[in-house]
Amino acid sequence: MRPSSPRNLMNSTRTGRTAVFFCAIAGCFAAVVIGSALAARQPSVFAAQSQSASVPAQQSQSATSPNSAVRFDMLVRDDFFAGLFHGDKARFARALKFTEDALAKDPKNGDAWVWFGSAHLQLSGEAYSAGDSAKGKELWDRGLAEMDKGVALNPDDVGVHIGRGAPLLGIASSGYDPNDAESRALVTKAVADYEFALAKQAPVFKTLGRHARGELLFGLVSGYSMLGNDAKAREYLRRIVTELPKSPYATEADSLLAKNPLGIVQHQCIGCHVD
Amino acid sequence: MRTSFFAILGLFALLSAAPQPALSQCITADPSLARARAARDSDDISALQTAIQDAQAKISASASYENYLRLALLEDWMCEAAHGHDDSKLLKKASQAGVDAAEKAAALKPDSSDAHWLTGDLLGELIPNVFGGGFRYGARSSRELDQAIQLDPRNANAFVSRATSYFFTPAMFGGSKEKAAEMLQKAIALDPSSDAADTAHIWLAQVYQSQGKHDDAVRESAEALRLNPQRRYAQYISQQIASGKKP
Repeated sequence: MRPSSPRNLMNSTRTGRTAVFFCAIAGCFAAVVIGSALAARQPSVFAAQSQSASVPAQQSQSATSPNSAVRFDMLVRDDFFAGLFHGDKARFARALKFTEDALAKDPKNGDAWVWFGSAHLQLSGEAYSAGDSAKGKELWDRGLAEMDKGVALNPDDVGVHIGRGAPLLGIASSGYDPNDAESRALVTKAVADYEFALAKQAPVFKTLGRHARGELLFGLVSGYSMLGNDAKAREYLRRIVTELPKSPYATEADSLLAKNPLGIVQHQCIGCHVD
Repeated sequence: MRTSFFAILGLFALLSAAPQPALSQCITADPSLARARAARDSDDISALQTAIQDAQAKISASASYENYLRLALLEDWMCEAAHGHDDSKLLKKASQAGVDAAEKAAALKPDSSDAHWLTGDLLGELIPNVFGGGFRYGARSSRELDQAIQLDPRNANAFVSRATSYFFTPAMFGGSKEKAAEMLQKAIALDPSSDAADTAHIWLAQVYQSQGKHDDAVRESAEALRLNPQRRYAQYISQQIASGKKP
């Protein structure tokens, strides 16, 4: 009996730990790229509501000062990531409740919808892992719908686009069927989100940190490779080599450019410090 | 008469308590399964499809643990043949059907190491072929394989499958080529001339090649071919390693 693995396909996506790894990538994307992208944004309109919402303890100081402009992601990110990366269910639940309360107060908060959707995708993965495919599917569909709602409410917001695109690409990296219409549609959506972010940040892109630029560009490489668009994937690889010279990103891009065919590119987040 | 009654009862008790025969023994003892395994070796999709249809008919007649396990095993072999033909659609179909059958076998006999092994192994086959496969099924695949080993520490197939998990998982998340090699060597030691050992040698060749241990890789792939010269998967890996390519 041959143990399961592809002879010549994606070959690093078989275990729960690998799934966590790729979700970590998604989280890294979200944390870093959102962080960089939001640096140039106007303060979140959530600031006014944050004073009365129950907030994670470590954020309460900044959140409750009267005229503070607190981005929504800063209020929930640490707790969500504590749940994602360290299995801290209590903090994850706290972040989920906080987001739910925020949406009850402001149903048009696109940021909150994207985080809410992402959280439900995470819960869907846990349901599938427990063998409950029905629950997994329900939470999966719910999560996707919530993220779409966030983008529909804030279509010009880089943060919500990345907040949807990053988890989708991360999850796709753990398994992808190019012949499946839903798979292609989700990756197409994620690639469009990243293209939006790239275009929107064009004036300031060169000023962003190397990690943020590298991960965004590699996200596009990975996404286009999954869609079979070798030309676009190579275009972004060449861009990485040009714009991030003498970096681990450029080294990785160079070695990929030498491959023919390119195949599906699975990039592992470089330099992320997951506490 | 009383003596012979108790003797019979004792014999019955003894037989009931006897461990299930190893899957490998079942395959050897069953000509149709032996033929199906030969079909796996030669990547013969058509012959495997016939065997699978027969297995499905057996289930229609009797939805027993043995029949579900048989079907899961055949779908697992079909996965290997699908790889040989680079047929990802067939691979996805076989792995999904195999998971379904293995789950039913495990539901009927929760303490079956082979049922859990096949569930874990087939989930592993499914993972790369569905959106977010690792995200959805990765943890469960590993858990099923660990349970298979716990239920039967002599289940060489479960060691082989679990080893591949360690091989493919990034080191920062617990993956380990060293651990993969250890588990594969354990599988070989459990039954050196078995089909599981053959598979273990194929995988050990790949682990060594990935570590730059080319001579060790050549040795392992040669041993895999010696155990089963008909197996196309072993031939493929041997060719890849001989050409210096990473399989």
